[in-house]
Amino acid sequence: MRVLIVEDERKTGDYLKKGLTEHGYAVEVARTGTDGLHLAIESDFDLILLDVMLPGLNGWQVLEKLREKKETPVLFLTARDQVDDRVKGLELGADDYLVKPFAFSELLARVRALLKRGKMSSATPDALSLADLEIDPIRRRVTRAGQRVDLTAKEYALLLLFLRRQTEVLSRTFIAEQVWDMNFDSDTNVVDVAVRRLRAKVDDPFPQKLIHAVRGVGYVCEVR
Amino acid sequence: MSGVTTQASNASNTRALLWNLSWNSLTTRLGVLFALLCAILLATVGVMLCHTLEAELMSRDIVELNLKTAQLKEALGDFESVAALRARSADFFGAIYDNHRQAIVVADHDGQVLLASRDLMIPNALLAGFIRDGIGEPRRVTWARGADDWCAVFAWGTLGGHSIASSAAMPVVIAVALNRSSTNLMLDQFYRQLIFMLAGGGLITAAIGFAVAYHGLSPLRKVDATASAITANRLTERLDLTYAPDEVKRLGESFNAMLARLQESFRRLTEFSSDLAHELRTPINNLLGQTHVALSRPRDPREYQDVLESNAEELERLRKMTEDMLFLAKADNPQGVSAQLERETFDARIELDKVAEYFAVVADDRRVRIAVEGSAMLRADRRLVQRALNNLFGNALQHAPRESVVHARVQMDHDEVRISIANSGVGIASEHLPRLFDRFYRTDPSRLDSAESNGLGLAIVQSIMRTHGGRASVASTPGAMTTFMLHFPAK
Repeated sequence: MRVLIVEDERKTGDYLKKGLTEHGYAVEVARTGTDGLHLAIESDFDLILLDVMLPGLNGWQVLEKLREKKETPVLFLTARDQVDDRVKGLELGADDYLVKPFAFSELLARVRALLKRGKMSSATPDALSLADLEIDPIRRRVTRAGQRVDLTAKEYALLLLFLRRQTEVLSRTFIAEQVWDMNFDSDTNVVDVAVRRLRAKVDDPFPQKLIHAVRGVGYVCEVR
Repeated sequence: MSGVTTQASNASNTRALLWNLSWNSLTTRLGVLFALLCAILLATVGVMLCHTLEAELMSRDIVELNLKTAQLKEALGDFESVAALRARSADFFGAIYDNHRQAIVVADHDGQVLLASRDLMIPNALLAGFIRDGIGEPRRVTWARGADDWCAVFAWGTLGGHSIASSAAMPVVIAVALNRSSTNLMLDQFYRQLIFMLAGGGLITAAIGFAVAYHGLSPLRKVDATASAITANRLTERLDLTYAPDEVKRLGESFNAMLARLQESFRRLTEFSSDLAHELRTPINNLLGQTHVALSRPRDPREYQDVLESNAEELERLRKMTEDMLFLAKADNPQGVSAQLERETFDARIELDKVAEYFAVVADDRRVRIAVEGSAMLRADRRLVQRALNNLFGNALQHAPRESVVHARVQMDHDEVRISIANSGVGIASEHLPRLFDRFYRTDPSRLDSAESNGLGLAIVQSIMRTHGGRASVASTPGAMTTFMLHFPAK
């Protein structure tokens, strides 16, 4: 998977490149709009992360010129949070929009979603098991090491999310949005309490832990 | 010292006066208007006075002429001949008080002067014209000769009409004339005096008009002076309206009210900026300190990871805060938010249930029960309502004691949809209530470590309500119950 980052802020570009590279993407960085457009047209990328404020051509101009030639998915990164900007970006053909400051895990989730969409969903069936933990989505039954685990509806939804997104670090905001349909940053520790309760049922009785807290970021479900 | 002050105030008075003499100033306009009105009034009165006087004098003269003519016509009958008339002319003329003013001429029907009280040069054309028209009614004529201005009555009379021998009777013309030049002179003098008086009166009233307008508008100048003295640092300044006239008082009151609002907004803004700086200082200080300490010597990866994780937490806090600040800033911009509201109509109960369900685990953890009741349709931005409810529930659960109940209720109350969330507990002292929705306001300033709340939650709730044209309120009984309420206007 090749990703092009067009970003003039050196530190931002660097950490995005590092983060995405470590998650298995081949990343190139352009520092100006002109370079970015040139690269985007000359070689084939699966996704472009485009900053709006750029020297040379700005993000919108780059997108406009790019769309004349190619349909590469574009994710806008911007410090501006005005509805007009958002609408303008999406009208010009941007595929998604992320306002700075954002959590890296959030970016990663969106990148993955866009790449999946770009490939018309290669339909890798969501793995619904991890180690000795299994979910039977039809009967909504959860077993760990063969033992039945009783979960409430929300605990079940939470575990389903973890298993579908295993190895991904999920931010609290993302979890609240997916499980409770809360579409904003909440000050509360609801997610922490919910995850703690889920772990008490799924992880605590067993020696191998599957759900891990990533301090300052969120939670991840994986075999360590 | 006082001399300097006087000089300065004189200079400023002069400046004010000069400023007031421009056509754009109310003083000038009022003064000129007043003077103009007075001038028109005086001129009208003067002209009318002149006319009346002139007409009155004229009518008196005419009465005098007619009377004299009638007397002479009567007397004419007593004289049989021209010779007799000439011989007893003094009897005929009777009393002529002022020979210069009055003159009598008797002429025959050829226009030949038979007798004259003085040498009166009657223009021939006038007399000839009267004679040519034949015997008839008396006629009034006027003429001027040199400085004299004559007015006369010509009348036919009969010489010797009273004698028995009527054959001797002879028609003659009697001309009785009055010299009006003295009357005219008097009128001229009167006119001249009148014009002087009018001009003088006009000037005086104009001056009075200016003075009255200038004095009457002095409260406005005071407003001006106060307003120009106001800067961001001197918003405490107020107009003294004790002696102001009603019109200016109302203006001044609006002005003072505006100042009060400005001062309050400014105070909040200033406080907000300093609070913001203060709030940012703590996480930045932690970040800097931890990072510097970590970098001061080589450490094992576990320690680095620990620092980075801690930094991530602080940064997350900062991110959240900037996001909230941006939200509030946008909500402060009136066109900004109402344009962005995605209003839809829904049952507020659904959102209340949803948020209650979200908090169910936390409530359960604290052994608190959430009781939701009521139902009402609402037209609002669903996500914003959710966010406001989220903040209120978070608050309520944080302060609800264990084993208690948090009551959430939605109800329609004639002109508003009201959502209330109530928790028991220690409550909030009344002095905190008015400022509870202020940004960064905390009832307990020492409790700064709260990672869960950044002090913006309730401000955001209030912002959300304002953008919906509603408001948030709070009522608290210390030691018993605290109730937060959202009032949405029903439409």
